[in-house]
Amino acid sequence: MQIRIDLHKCNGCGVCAEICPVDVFRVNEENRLAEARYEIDCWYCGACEGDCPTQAISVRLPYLLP
Amino acid sequence: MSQIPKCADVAIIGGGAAGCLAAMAAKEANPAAEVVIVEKASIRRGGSIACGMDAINVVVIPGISKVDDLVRAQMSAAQGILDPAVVRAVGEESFGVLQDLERWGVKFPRDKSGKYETFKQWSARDSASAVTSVSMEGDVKVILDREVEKRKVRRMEHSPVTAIHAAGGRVAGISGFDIRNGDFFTLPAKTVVIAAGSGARFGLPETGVLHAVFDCPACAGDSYSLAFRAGAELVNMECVKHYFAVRYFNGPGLAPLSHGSRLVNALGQAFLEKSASGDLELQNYMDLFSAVQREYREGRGPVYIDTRPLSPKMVQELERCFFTTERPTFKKFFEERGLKIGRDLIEGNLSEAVLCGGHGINGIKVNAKAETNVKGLYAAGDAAANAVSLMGAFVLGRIAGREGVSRAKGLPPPEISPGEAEAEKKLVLEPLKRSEGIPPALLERKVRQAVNLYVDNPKSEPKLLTAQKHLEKLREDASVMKAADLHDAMKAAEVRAILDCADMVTAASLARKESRWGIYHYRVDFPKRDDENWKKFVVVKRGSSGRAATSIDPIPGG
Repeated sequence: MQIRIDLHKCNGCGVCAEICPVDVFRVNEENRLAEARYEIDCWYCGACEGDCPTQAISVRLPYLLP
Repeated sequence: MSQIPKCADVAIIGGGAAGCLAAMAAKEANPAAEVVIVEKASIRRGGSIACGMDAINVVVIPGISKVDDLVRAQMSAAQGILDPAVVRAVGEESFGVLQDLERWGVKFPRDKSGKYETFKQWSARDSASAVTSVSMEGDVKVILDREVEKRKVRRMEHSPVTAIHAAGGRVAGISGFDIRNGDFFTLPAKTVVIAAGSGARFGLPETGVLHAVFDCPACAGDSYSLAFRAGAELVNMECVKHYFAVRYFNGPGLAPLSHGSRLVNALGQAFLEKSASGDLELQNYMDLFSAVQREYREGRGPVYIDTRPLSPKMVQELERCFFTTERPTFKKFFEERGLKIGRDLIEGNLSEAVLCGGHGINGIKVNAKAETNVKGLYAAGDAAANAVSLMGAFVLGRIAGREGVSRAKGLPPPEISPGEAEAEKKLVLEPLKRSEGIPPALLERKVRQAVNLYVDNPKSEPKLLTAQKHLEKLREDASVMKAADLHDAMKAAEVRAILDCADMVTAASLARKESRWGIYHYRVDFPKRDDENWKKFVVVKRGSSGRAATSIDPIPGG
């Protein structure tokens, strides 16, 4: 997994889903917490990491990069 | 998405640097005007500078640099194929923009005497004049987002625009859809500003990862495709850019060179010969790009950025710019690989093929008022052919907003033809209804492979004609894409844009029967640069068949 969300820290505010430039995140309909639904589209700009108010998100580089 | 207004005075496509400045300028000129930014992501983080930028590459600071010098340098870098009036317009307002940014909270470090800390780009390192660059600090997009909000600009976010409508030779509005609720919308607009960025997803990077590209992948060539479909003219589409990048991460590789690193090949040899013409920015970059390509081709790769010659101060400055702005995950890349700036050699290579009007010279043809050939349609930022990078985005955005709002005054509300809107709605939402079809990401991979194999350098007529055949087939495939959800429907629209870009680049590359700009346009069948016959624009426009048609135009004022 390229994007790690600490579900104990996530408060479901949806900031990540709001700001991601490439639309990676959604708030999961069932548990109301953040989900990196389209992480294959991540540009690893790190905007989500910086803007998450509870520091719940950690972006790793894609496994596919040599 | 906020409520859609009945009619916009200025509808701005894209909330990046150019779009934000356009919106602010329009509202400042006429606070009562209905000004809307329609952005596929958010204004807070949308665009190529989501997490900020370490520097402004081009600014004319009174007492330090002159507009004439900027125009001369950029024209020379573009080898004469650029509208000098556009560069001049950017130069003239550049310092004013810098001062405004500073007032809004963007930091430009100064020395003790209050002078801005300026530096020179790698290519201008030995020259006396050329272009002034300044370091920049601060969360630029967050600041712009706040300033846009203060001026009561209306925003429609998470809403990719998929069409610009025209009627009676002038702009009538835009349409698109909301990727969160699936609503298709039309927005009649008296004027429209295209500020939807570059074509970052053009060539396929050597990692094969679709979004592991140099420039922000949200900028998928939408600007060029929207303009093309609206009947606007584009120029220099044959000038296909590659960046020199830190390999695999695709981060900026020229910055370490500007700060004092050197390039070596796998044998430890410095392979760059110093150029005789020290102040020709792009031309020197082109020498560099050709040399890097040669080292790899002839088996002396990998090429390394040797950071050992960097002074401790420069190491610190580079770590600041790499690890805190643009894509701060760059830090993790260095950490994961155990690399340290100032101690190690770092692999470098050319990026995938990119289309860009700010760092490159291709894009929508505009004049010094940011006007296109379609009445009421403007373009700014990486969308427009300007070659003045981030400052070009700021200033052209400002000009476009100001001009747009002034033009809108007194114009009657336009009407978007219901038939046209219906057809667009069908095109955009149909992939969601198919029970089977080609996933957009899969088709995107094939299109971009075709770009690498047939459209990108080295070019030749047989190769480019083969590209056209492949593209024709891929376009048929695009009509049977299946989107799994709304996110995927956005990607389907982006693939259509990438296909339009490939069509335009192929047509323009066929038309320019010479070689120019180093590896950006190298025709093996016309290997020489021919200033006598080709100091001209290749103009691309949508032809009667719906495909790209070209014509040859003189350079304005040239």
